[in-house]
Amino acid sequence: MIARFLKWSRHNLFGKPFDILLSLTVIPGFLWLAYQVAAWTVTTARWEIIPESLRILMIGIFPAEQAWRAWVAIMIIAALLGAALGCVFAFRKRHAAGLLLVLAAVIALTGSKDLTNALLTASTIAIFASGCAAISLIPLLRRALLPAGFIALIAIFAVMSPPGAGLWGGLLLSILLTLVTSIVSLPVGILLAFGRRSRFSSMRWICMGYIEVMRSVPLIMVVYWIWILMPVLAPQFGLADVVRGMIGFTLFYSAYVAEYVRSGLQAVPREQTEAARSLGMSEFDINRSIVLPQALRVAVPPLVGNVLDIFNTAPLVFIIGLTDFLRAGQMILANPQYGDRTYEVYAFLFLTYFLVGSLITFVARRLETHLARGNR
Amino acid sequence: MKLIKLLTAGVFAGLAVTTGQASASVLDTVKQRGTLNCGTDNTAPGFGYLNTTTGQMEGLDVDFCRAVAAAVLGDASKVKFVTVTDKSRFDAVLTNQVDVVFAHTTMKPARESSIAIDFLPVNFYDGTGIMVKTDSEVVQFADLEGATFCTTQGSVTETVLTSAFKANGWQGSKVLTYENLEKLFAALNSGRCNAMSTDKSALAAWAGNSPKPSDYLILPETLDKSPFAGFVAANDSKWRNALRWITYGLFQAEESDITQANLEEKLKSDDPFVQKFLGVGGGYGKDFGLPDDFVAQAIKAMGNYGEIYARNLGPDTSMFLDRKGTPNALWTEGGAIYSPLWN
Repeated sequence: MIARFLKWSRHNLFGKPFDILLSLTVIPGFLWLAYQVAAWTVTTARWEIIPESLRILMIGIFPAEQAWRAWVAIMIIAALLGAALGCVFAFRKRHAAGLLLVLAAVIALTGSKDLTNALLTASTIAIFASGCAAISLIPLLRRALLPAGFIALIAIFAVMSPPGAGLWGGLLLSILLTLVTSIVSLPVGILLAFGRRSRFSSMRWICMGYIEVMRSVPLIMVVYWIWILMPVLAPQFGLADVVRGMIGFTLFYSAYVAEYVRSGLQAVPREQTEAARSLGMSEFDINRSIVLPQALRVAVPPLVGNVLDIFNTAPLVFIIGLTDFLRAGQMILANPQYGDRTYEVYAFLFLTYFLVGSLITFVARRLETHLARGNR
Repeated sequence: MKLIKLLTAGVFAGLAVTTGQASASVLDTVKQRGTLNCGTDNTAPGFGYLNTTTGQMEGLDVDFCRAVAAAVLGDASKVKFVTVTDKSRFDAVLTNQVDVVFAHTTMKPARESSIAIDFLPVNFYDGTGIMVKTDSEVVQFADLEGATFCTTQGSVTETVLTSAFKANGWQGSKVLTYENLEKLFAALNSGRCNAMSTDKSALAAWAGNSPKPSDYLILPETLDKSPFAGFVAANDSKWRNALRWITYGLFQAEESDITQANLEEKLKSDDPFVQKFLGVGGGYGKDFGLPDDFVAQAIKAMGNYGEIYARNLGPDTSMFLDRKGTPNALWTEGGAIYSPLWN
């Protein structure tokens, strides 16, 4: 074992003079950093602020007595995310065992303090896993995923709306915003991409103008403009801030989706269309059954990357007064009593963003290999 | 961004003015709707803050929203708090998304002259202050010649300090900037700076929450005035007047010693002034389009100005802001909280 490690390190870490130099500087530096972080985590940091303000971080200013609504929404989201993961992840028996272990750990660690929330957290994880397992084991369900996503969104809105959409916040808001934007911008973006290749030049110009305008302005400006324009243009609707934020995000990211889809459309060889046309297929059928499936195969990996982009830009909604995950953390720190917990709160924010972000990149990478399989 | 902001403000100010004149006063809208849409911050402890442990909105600005709801609608709970930021607060009121904003906004001439808003009476006087350590034996600003001052990055305090140096002809004094108040406070404690400078309300909170508050001294001088006031969209006198006199009512109640606790008693008072002020047998409300007992309703729900202040900013809170000797005291005690005559 030791001999193998020595051999491995000689090959990989100390092979050439430059490697030796690099290893000698990077490894001790990294170890020192890891030691410092670990020492701070265990000794200096006062973590009790995180459980104390966990509700604010997760659901923001959503009223505590209505928290069950948030839980329902979280479970629907968990099922949806699990299903999305299931498309690219083969669920096996050993995963089920690992899952049971995680559930037991969650209940054992937090159950003594707050049993209800521990059980709810555990069931959310279980729902996530069963969504993943169901899609992974029954591939036929995948066709229903996009419609199911829309139905899930409507269900979430229905359950979350009664206390007032203005109260949505925290991590739940960030995730909802990401979900709504990524799901709604997909069909809009596909239409825009086709519009840009349309036979009608007016259509072509309108779509191109829209895409170019949206891609050349900053997101924060689009969001802010939508926020102030909607009540002036349509005062009778009285749309909530959060809905206007979602509209702004969707309008903006549709343009990006359109460009990703267009790159996919361009990757489909012309002969495919011509062959389909010579078979007498209608233009709609050609696009739906010949062009789009092949185009999406190229476009899906960057589209998943786009989801990550949306999630990471979600904090920009602070500009219209929404309390997303990052702002919820800042809100806790604004209290002078907690003013010296900056590092604890930001470490928690970092970790959560990192976990969600890595889940999305993991899905993206799996998708890429998964889709590339057909091209071999 | 600045140009865009100016353009937006201009366009929507124009729109707001044209539509505002055609439609009724916001006061009628609020009464018809039955709720008050009040714009507040939620990240400013003491002013507009969502208490992360209780999940309730609290603060001076928040209580003013509730007092307005109580006065106009007779129920302090009929408020919908809309979070506004430093960037969005003016557009929020210009586009009628909120009826009034109480968001620790500094009253400035350019804000009234170019943004089409009207300010309400000042409800808190803040300003740039200086805090030193007690053992440094500095008792006034003039003692700090040649000292190192610390403040936050990108704040106006930096400019305020440098112009104060220039005005005093100080050569050796310098300003160090830090990322946030926490680092600033640490720098004062480690002796890196001789003095820490930021808003007085923040200074008191940081000293008060430290292990030993008596280690710190906030100097009496205020380098730069910063009066906070609520505001409404311009050209709606009916709404603005109602709000102004609700605010004055809270001031006057303190002056006349009418509190939440003794309100019932005062309602039975024989004093004709108190009777009329509280709307017993005809008061001032009707002509404003308010209930006659609007002041009584506001006091019943939130207490007078002194009580609101004590609840959110006073020495018993984590803000540790004593009113004594500051402009936030009543005018009878040498402060600037003053209500015009009620009769």
